[in-house]
Amino acid sequence: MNERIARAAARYFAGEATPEDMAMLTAWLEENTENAREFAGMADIEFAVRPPFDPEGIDTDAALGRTISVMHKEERKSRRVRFIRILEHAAAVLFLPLALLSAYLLSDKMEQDESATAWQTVTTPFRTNTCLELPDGSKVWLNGGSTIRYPLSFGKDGRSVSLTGEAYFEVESDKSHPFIVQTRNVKVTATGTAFNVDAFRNDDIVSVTMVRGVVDIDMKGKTLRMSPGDRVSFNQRVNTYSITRSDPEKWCAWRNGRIIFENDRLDYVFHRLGQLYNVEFTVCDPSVDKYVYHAVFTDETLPEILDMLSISAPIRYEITKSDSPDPAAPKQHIRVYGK
Amino acid sequence: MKETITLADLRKGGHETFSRLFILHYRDLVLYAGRYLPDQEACEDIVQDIFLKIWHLRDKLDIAVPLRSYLVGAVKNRCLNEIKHRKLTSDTTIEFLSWMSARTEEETVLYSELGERLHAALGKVPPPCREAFEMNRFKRMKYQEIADMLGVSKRTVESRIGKTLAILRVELKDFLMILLLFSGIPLW
Repeated sequence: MNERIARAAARYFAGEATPEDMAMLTAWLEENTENAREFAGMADIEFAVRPPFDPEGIDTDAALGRTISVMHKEERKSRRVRFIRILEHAAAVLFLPLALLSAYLLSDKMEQDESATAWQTVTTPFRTNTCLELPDGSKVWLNGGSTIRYPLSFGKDGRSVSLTGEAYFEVESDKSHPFIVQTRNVKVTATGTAFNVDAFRNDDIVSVTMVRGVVDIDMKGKTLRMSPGDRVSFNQRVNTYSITRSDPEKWCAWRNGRIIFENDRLDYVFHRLGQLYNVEFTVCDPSVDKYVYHAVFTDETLPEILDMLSISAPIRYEITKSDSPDPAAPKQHIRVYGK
Repeated sequence: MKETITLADLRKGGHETFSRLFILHYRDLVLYAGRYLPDQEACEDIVQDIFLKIWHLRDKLDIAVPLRSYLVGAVKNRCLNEIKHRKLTSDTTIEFLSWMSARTEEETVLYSELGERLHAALGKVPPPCREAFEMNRFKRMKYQEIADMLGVSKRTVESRIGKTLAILRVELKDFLMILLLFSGIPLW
């Protein structure tokens, strides 16, 4: 490219090209494709130095919000169709719209109430899970048998929710207003990140699994900063904790109705199944505990899972009805024996 | 270097990966569309629409290249179609616009990509030299105007800009060749 061409091109990009400039450029561009490529490279630089619009005037966050709301609207439409199909398979799913409906009615009622802080509580029945959006746009997937409580609008001093059970959080980024998840003994503080909290009512152990970003965690005064792939388990009874590194997918798979066991000891397997299906397991033969199990379950019922377990692991089981007077207590009791 | 997101990542990662992809490229793509269409709102609509299409068709599409390349190509085609459809400009202009996109999507450099390089490279230039260069390149001031404004001789301005170019040449390598030719600034 000689200097005359370069100047003509510069004038073209500045919108000041003369007919002679255009004729000269056209002739040069038609010569060969290499010239056209060079011209395209000049365009890249020209538009980087002098962008067509003010880059600061393009609001990516707002556009993403608009786009996602279009996606949600479309997905809600298609979900309605899919929902009818699921109904044929699992009666338990019936509870999902009930949970959503009660949340909706509750929120309707609370919006009329003009008290300082109106709170919303959402509880999911066992073996269902639900996804909800918090006032700041953060998303929560609530596992079965879990309860989350949050204000209808977050105040100036932060975003705080309380949780019993298990939930997966995708927190909207906002550095000046930390997002806080409070369980009975553990507090997780995040700004913009994704993580899973497992804090069931009857468990001694609260676990937090990091998927993305950074969170600070406070366990009765013991503090810790976590990064992606970290899983912290805090024993509330003896106030000790342990950190392991693992694939976060395993711990968040429940959002898609899956349960993943990967080299997990049977005592953990029974513990997890107990959480998810609200049953109580008693292992009557301690040698069974140490057996390591590997499986992925998707939407299976508990009897199906137990049957599979007793085929591939050296166990047999017995189901009895629980006679506990506590209505929240597990309804079934399962005794596990070695073969 | 920006992260690369593929279709396989999007299929696996769902909404979260979609958001990352969007945040990564949205502004660049709107500015890229702006090369063809002068209307920011129309550009934003086109880019949003393309993101939605990718999301809906993620299981059906077969794209082996990074999604960035696919997006650049899609925006380009949509804009060129839009111009032809709306009969916004003359055939000559359309011809020029096609030339402007003569390079492959992989080669096309977007706003933030060159912006970062240029900014980083300029950071290594001594402030007085940088000032003169920016007045010339970004504010489009002539050497004499810059000299008058700074109260120095025209020769000093030329030598400062020359020094800037020498540093940029090392820092920007392949881009610089075009930049130098393009700017028409005499090299000494």
